[in-house]
Amino acid sequence: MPIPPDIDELMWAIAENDTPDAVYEFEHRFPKYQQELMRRIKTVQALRAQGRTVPARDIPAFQARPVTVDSKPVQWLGYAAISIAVISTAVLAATRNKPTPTQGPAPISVKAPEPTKVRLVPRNSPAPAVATAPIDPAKNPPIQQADTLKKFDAVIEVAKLHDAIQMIAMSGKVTVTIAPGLENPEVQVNFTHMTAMEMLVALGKDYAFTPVINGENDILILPVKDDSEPNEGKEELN
Amino acid sequence: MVYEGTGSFDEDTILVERFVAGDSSAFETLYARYYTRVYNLARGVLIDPEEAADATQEIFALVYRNLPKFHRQSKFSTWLFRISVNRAIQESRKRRFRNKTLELDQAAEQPAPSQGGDEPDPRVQLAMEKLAPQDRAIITLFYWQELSLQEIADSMDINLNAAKTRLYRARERFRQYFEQEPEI
Repeated sequence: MPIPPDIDELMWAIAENDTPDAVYEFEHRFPKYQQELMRRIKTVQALRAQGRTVPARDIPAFQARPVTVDSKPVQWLGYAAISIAVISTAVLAATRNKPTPTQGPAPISVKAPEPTKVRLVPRNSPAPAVATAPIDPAKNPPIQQADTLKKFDAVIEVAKLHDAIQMIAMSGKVTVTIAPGLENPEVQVNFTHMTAMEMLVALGKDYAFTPVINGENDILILPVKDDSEPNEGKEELN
Repeated sequence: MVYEGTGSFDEDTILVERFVAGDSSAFETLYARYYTRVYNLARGVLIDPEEAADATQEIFALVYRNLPKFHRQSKFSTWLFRISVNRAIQESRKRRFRNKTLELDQAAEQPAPSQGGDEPDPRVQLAMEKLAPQDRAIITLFYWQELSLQEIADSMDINLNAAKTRLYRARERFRQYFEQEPEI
């Protein structure tokens, strides 16, 4: 018969604290779980006993040795690069102008190029205009910016304001600089499908700060609440 | 002077600042202060004392190299434990990949150079060995390091509820394996 979750949790709490009064009280209230409680107390005691600390006198001297790096990811990247190169070569070979029927099939030699040199070559035949149209960098911002504009969810149950700001910034792939003077109370955050900047603006309204763009992917947090509404700006202009 | 246990945030921060400014003795103090806890955490995850001792050195080497990048947004200990948990789990997976199975009875007979007077309980070790590295990590943080659930959440980069759920599940799995082992 399964143990009710509340009793289960209570038994763990008693086992972890191992207070004789609590054990006595529990055994009187729930006599049929007495043995189960004893088992848990033994389990916790055995577990804790295993975690005895190493005496300080045995601490070895620190040697700043190089950190070993697992070569597997590098190997897999190499395999992946070679696979892409082989597939690319095969696709290019298949889509090139076909040889005349009198020609025999040309032997295909596939060399594994350096991973960093893998690139796709345009076909010999004229490509569609869309693919060959010149790209204006001003109109087409780098792809990297897409990350900073990415919308995401942020739920922080309890954190200091500064930590919450940093967490939002990290998730949004931007850096923040918090100007001195910003208070650091505990905050809760629950934003859904917003960019990091939108979240910081919303948070700033509650905690008296204003996020200001401070260069590429960098936001400055000023401990000044921006109370100005769009209408106020219009009045000034008028 | 060797410090034991938890250092306060301010003391650790001062030591970090001193180290970044070029005072290498500050790192030695941090090392002495946290070696035991990092070693025990690694031992909880890796089980084998010698592998744990090696992992501990690697963890501190990582910390040594990356300390200038520590942004002081969290406590030093939280940052250190996060590195330790990740590294120990990573080492545990590598060990499993290498298919280097640990002979538990041998492990009990082979104390690491740094492990004076430790007497592992074979039942605990056997039960721990059956757990996933993440389960071992959370059990170690809670029962050996005696971190709060919030500190565990911070160290494992998860939220509080996730830490609570993972701990309950890991503890239950441990209990089942532990009780399956015959008492000696």
